[in-house]
Amino acid sequence: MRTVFTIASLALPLVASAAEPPSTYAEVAAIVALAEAGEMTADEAFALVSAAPGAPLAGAALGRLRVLKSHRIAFSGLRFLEMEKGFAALNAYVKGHRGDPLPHVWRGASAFETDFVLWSVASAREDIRLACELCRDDPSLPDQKSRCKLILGLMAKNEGDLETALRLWAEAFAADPVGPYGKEAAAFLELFTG
Amino acid sequence: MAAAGEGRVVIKEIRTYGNQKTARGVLLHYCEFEVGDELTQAELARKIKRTKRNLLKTQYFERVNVFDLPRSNPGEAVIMLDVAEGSDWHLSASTWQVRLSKENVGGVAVTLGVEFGFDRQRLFYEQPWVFGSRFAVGAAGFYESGRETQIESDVGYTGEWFSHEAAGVEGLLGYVIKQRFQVGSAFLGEYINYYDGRFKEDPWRRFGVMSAADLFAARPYAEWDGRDDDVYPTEGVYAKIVGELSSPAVGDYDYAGAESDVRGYVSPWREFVLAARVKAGAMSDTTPYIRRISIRGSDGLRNPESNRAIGTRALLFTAEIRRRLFRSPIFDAWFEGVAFVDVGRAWDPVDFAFGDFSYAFGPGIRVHMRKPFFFDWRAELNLYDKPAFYATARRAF
Repeated sequence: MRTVFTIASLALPLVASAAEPPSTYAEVAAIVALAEAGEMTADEAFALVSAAPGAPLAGAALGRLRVLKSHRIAFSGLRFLEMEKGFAALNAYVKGHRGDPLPHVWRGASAFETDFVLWSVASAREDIRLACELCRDDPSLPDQKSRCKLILGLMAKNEGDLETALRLWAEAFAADPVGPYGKEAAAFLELFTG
Repeated sequence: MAAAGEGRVVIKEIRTYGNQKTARGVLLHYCEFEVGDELTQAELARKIKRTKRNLLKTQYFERVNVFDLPRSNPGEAVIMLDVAEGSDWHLSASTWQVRLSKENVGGVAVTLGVEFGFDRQRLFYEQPWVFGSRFAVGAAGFYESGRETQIESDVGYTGEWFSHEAAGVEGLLGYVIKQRFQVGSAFLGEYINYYDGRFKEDPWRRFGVMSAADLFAARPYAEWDGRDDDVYPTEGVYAKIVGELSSPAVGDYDYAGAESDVRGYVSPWREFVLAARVKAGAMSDTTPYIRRISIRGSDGLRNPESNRAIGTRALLFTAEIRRRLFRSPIFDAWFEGVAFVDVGRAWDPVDFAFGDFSYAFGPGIRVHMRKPFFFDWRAELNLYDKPAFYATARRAF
């Protein structure tokens, strides 16, 4: 299963151009990655994954995409409901797939983006640490490891612990110097160093 | 740039991060240092702490970090102001009034708002400082619809009353001497229509009541705010003294007076805060009844059976012990428990007797919500004499 992340990166252009409902784990992961990167709207991605509810990872992907969709909802009550549905879907999926790092990363990232309103700081940190563990020995997952370190660094920075943040961003950069998360970590390192 | 002396550091650069809407100038205004300042490390640490406090007190941000970034040159400091903007819609209310404001409009520290309720409507604009200067400005227009006022004395209600409606404008011009210290004056002008009154004798001389009146007053003030936080202060002192001067040269009234409000906060044990406030005021005997000092209500003496709450003299002491109880699992909100004691009274010089102070004490609970909108609510129960329940969405002192 872990090699799917490599496949996901290869599948990105394919999914983007075809815009067909996904059928494999890698394709579902690729659609979510496109939505996270802003290269596809969360609504479009949600429609694509909704068309294949039986696809592997679809349950978690729909949850993650709901959270991404909620960022665009102006009215806070509706936004909250959409977020709540997203977390419910992520929680349900994670419960049955504890060994899969990607849903943990998605839930941790969703919690961070939504100010931990529905998923606490401690739970999000635990999710990301677990995902980091699951990714650690797999050389095919540098981007997710880098992403985990990046988010943990941002959480440390928000809590006022700059020293830990800088260390984690350095690790994020080292894990994947050419990937998007590694580059983002490098930018933070530069910005937060005098 | 000047090189730092031994043991000193020069502020080389101030960076900002996270201010998506708020102008960088707003963040820099609340800084206690500027690029080029030469400070000792201890001074820098103190100023960083104060800057964080200043930024949090604006209530524009839900999170503020001020970092002294790791240095490539030990004598040159680069400071990062790292913020997360919070909700800019603020809601508060009392039993009869709702106050809704949009803070930090356009990211330039302007507040626009409206107060509306059964007996008073008000539109207001506030700006705690004008770009490039140290002046604070504000303006408001208001209308008070008909309201009956019962006259109080030390023996209770006298059986005299009057009704009035009013419309007017307010202006404010302040000068920020330091981030925590401001002086200035507010100006009040209103037209008052009195009607439906019942008096035993001479309402004009005793209460300033006539058929119609123009009231113009200057309200000079000085304000020191050394609290660590506006919403949940845990240490520091706040003091404000406000005068009120009205001359018959520009209106129908001739009176003067002053009120003071002093608050102190300490946190002797973890999670607990002791808060105390003393309000005192004195006004001339010619002050119209509608401008006399009131200590009634949830922000005053929390006992509706109190001897008297409106007068030309007033003294109120309030003490509270507060504790954060828990955080809401659903919204960005936390709950706070409180126990309070109030002692106070209002009087006129001819009435005064030391034995006539009124008391209130009891428990309360408060909610401080920051998202999805900025909202504070509190409920308190007076257990002294006759139980009475107070609930309001106005923040406690």
